[in-house]
Amino acid sequence: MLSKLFNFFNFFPTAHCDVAEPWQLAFQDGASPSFDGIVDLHDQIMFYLVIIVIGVSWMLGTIIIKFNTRTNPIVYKYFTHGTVIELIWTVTPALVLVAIAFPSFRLLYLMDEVIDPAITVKAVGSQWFWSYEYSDYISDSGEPIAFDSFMVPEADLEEGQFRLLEVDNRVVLPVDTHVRFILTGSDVIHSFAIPALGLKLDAIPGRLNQTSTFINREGLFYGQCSEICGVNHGFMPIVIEAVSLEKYLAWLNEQLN
Amino acid sequence: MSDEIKIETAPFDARFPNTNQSKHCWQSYSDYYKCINARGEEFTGCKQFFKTFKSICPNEWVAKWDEQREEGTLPFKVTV
Amino acid sequence: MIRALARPAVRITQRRCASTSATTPAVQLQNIESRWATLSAQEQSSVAKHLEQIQAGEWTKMTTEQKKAAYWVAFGPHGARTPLTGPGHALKVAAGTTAVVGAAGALFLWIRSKGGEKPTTMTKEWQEASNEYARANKINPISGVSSEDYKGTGFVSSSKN
Repeated sequence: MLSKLFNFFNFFPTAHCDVAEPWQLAFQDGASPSFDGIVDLHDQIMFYLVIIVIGVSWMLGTIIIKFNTRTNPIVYKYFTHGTVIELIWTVTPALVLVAIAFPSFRLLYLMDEVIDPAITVKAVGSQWFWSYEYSDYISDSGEPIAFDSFMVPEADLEEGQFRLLEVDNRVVLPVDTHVRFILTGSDVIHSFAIPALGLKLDAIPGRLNQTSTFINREGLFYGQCSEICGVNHGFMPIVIEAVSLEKYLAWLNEQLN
Repeated sequence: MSDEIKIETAPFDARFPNTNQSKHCWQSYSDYYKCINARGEEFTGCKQFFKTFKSICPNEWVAKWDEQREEGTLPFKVTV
Repeated sequence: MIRALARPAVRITQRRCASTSATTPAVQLQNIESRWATLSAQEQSSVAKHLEQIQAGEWTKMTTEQKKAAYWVAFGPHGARTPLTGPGHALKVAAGTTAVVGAAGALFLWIRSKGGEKPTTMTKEWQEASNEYARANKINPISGVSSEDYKGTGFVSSSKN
């Protein structure tokens, strides 16, 4: 219904990035525990948000309707203070902030934990592509797996593929496995972001940032560089292909040989 | 080949609990070369350091340090 | 503080008013609301002074004209109470806003008309293929295109091929 409405008003269809669907308003479908945590936090904060919106609108509306110059022409010159009401409207927002802060910190520290990863993937941001390294395994020639991942230009896309989102070499990862990402940049600051996994972390030159994910379903997950990194900032997407462990091992073998 | 692949990586290290793992990489690299300089390349105890820095350090960093080590311009000590 | 500074000035004008009003006995009060703006500052203050003197006495003895004039001088829309906007102001604002927004829209359309062609991915055929591709790759399987009983249009947003 809503999408029909939007399509009706959509005089200038635009190309939508990400695998957010056209005119999508809510989150993408999640695929990791951190994403579920983010959605939970969003819903919790939305509870307070609705209360605040209703309360503030009610006060504002009352003031506009009941205290405008037409309905209430006499100004009470000395009616300027109300200690009780001021206490209420100072303490209540403080309590609301505390109530929002606790679940927020809980999630923040939960997402920070990288306890027991099984795979480490290094992602190095460069102008303007991502390079990935899998160095847990050494190939027969002694070389670790390393490849660059460039965006597929529009002319080379196969029909149905997503413009500005497809890459030539995808990051292949197994599902239901703790994966550690080590992120760094080779020239300027980039940011590694995959909405469906709830991942977003800056890739900073000279620094190794660690984050982790646990993909709980197979599929394709699209992301984009999320830190302005130069003219082609918008043209260095990230694609993660989540596969079963068997397929992952087969892919590793292929890469190593 | 498939049987040889073990899904394992550098484990959590309580010395480096933060998001920033730069020190983790550097510590493992220098520990490995200190280890083999002291005990020789065949010493199995050094393998863990090797695996850790391989997993954590970007190849570019390792390549740069290797080069500096060979030239003798490494800005930190790996001899014991 | 400001009041303290202003007070001497008021006193001077009042004193002068008192001396002038003595020489000009007849103060015209008819249609004071239409004439007020044409009066000089001195005349205005003499009218005010005159009314003040009248009001110092019995209010019940005031004529309707005097009452009207006294009300006008005290509360009428002049001086600090002059309305900020004249008649038809709202219409002017509405017209101006419409003109500016319209100009922006025209500029937008003009720039778009000079733009290049739409990407090849924006055809209906491609977007339908995108739906197939998404389903094959299990994209958005919970609430999106790949979900069971999906009713929406997925990636299809263009009607033209």
